[in-house]
Amino acid sequence: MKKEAIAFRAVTTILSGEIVLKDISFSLPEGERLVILGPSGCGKTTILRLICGFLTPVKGSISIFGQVVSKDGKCLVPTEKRGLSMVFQDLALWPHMSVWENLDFVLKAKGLLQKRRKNEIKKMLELVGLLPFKDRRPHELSGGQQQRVALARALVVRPRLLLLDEPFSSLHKALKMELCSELLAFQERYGFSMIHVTHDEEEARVLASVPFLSLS
Amino acid sequence: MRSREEWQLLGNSLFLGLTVSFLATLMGSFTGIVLFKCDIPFKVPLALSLFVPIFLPPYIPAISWMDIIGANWIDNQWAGFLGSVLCLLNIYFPVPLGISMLFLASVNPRYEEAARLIYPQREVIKRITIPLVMPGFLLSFFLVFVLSVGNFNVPSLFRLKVYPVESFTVFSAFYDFERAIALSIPLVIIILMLFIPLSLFLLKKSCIPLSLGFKNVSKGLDLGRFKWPIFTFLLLLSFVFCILPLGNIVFDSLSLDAYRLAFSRGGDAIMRSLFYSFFSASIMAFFGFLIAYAKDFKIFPHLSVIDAILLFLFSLPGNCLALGLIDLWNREYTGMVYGSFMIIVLGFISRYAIFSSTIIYLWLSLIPKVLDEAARVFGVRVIKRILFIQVPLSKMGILASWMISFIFCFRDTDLVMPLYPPGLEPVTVRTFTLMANGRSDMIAALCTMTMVVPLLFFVLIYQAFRVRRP
Ligand SMILES: Nc1ncnc2c1ncn2[C@@H]1O[C@H](COP(=O)(O)OP(=O)(O)OP(=O)(O)O)[C@@H](O)[C@H]1O
Ligand SMILES: [Mg+2]
Repeated sequence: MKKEAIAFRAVTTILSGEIVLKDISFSLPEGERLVILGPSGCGKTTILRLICGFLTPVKGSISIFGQVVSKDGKCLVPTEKRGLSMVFQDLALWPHMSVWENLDFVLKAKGLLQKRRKNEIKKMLELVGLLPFKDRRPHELSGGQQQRVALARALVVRPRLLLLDEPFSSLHKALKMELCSELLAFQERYGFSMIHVTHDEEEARVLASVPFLSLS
Repeated sequence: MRSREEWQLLGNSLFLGLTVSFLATLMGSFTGIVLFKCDIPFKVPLALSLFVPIFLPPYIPAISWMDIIGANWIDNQWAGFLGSVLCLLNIYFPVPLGISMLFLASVNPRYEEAARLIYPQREVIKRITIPLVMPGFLLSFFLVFVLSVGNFNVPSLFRLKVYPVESFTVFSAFYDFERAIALSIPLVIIILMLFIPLSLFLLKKSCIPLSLGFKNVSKGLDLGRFKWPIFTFLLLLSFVFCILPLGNIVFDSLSLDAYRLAFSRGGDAIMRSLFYSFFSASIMAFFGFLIAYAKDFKIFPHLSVIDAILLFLFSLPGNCLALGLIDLWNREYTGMVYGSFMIIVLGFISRYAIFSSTIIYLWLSLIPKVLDEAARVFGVRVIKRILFIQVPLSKMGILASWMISFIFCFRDTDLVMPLYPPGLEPVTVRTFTLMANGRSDMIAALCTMTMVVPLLFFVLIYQAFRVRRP
């Protein structure tokens, strides 16, 4: 049997006194692609924030690759030690760093040596077609290019588990599909597990490899 | 309360504080709203000139005004009162001006735009903007009140009997520490009585501006037939509060001899002042950042208590804070601190740390949290997140807080007056003591140097930084 990349066991979350998620359980086998679907405000971002450790569930447990990271209101493994990678809803590219520095900063956290980092960044930027823009700041790029930088930053660390929170929601259809297929190509190439949040059914169908997790 | 004399002290102090804070809040807030919201020519130079006096030692406008009015005019308490009101208004007018502008800048323009659909601009200001910035008026009133009842220099020059003057006289002339403390307690009680409800109100309404990121772009309100009268009023204010008093000082100082003498009598004190201010401002920027960071990321609960304490320390009369510090540090084992410049630095920090922590906090709170979260997800440790994300993104705020703390330390007079160890006085104290019998052109030259030197110092530092980074 395949190992589980993520497992939620009876997770309940309360935010400012209100139950946001109730008794949610699901798991994602390693190397698969899970899509979380649901209308606005149903708790999709909350699930990702739980995985990251920005929130802890009041009841239930969350494990990542078999290790319990949060349980019954306690955070057992801090965010920075969970070995995650993520594309944020509003990208969160660091505005005071160039494209290159944005990628370099996350690789430094992994403790890679200078030469290795340089190779990796160059390869990744070439793959997403952004090498000519490597010295630009995020605000000097178009929306689609920024999205690619965020994707490159998430992929350059060679993640085992990638989280994506509606990364393409602000893009028009053609560009969205183009980036979806790029993402698929990366996933097949590196074989990481991923959780993709969206409210677009078409995008969901293209990306999912296991049944959707539909919240309501 | 021992006697009629003390009732008189209390009466004078309260009356002075209330008059100044009422007038300053009214005029300053009005000016702030006009400068921020209305279409007035020469806005920026007008605003800048109106802000200048708060950055100067308080005795500078005072001696200039005494020179303009004529010192022998001040022969009774009423004259002393009027003179003190004029000077304190001159000095603290920028407080409500700045606070009203800060609060206006923090109003989300969306609120005004929404109302603009149904009301004319003038009504929007009356019904939406002013109610939103109301807490700012309250804060201004409180601050001007505590600053003016605590001021020592101005009433002492105008020979008005108020608590800080009496307390300092008792302390320095008769070495009667206990009586000096006793004479500052009534003010502490009054300030506390105002402070507690105000801070509860400000905390509850959470109305401290947190959204300075909004660019308030709405086109200036057309004042119509009031435009030129109001412009003339502002021009007059700028003349009376800035150009006249400062011009008079500079004009009085204009001789080479005066500057030569001023430098020989006060050069060492200026250097010391620069050092104290540089040192204190740097420490405050460092700790201010830590407090602001802890608050912004809610690392500990109830951190606003620190702010309340710092604001309270700032509201205390400088002279009274100094007595408290002496009481605390003048002991057997802490003589090293009390006898060295460290006591001055400690004083500056306890008095002005509220500025650095607040300014940096305002800046940090503008940085989206998700930038830090993104780094966390990728495994970046907290020290690196601070050094490479929060610090670079807030460096303008840190710099601004550093400069403001620097200037406030440099201008401070009444806190250091009882506090400085022998032979280590800063330039403000030196000037104030020389005033008793020094030549007036030399005093004017010293004052001019006190105004100009910090600016030169900033230019110097700026150049040094530019050279290092090509
Ligand atoms: N800090 C908070 N305090 C209280 N309630 C919150 C908080 N954050 C989110 N919620 C509530 O939790 C619910 C789920 O929020 P979440 O952000 O996960 O929604 P979402 O599914 O990501 O929506 P969207 O598609 O709009 O991004 C919402 O109903 C929201 O009101
Ligand atoms: Mg969401």
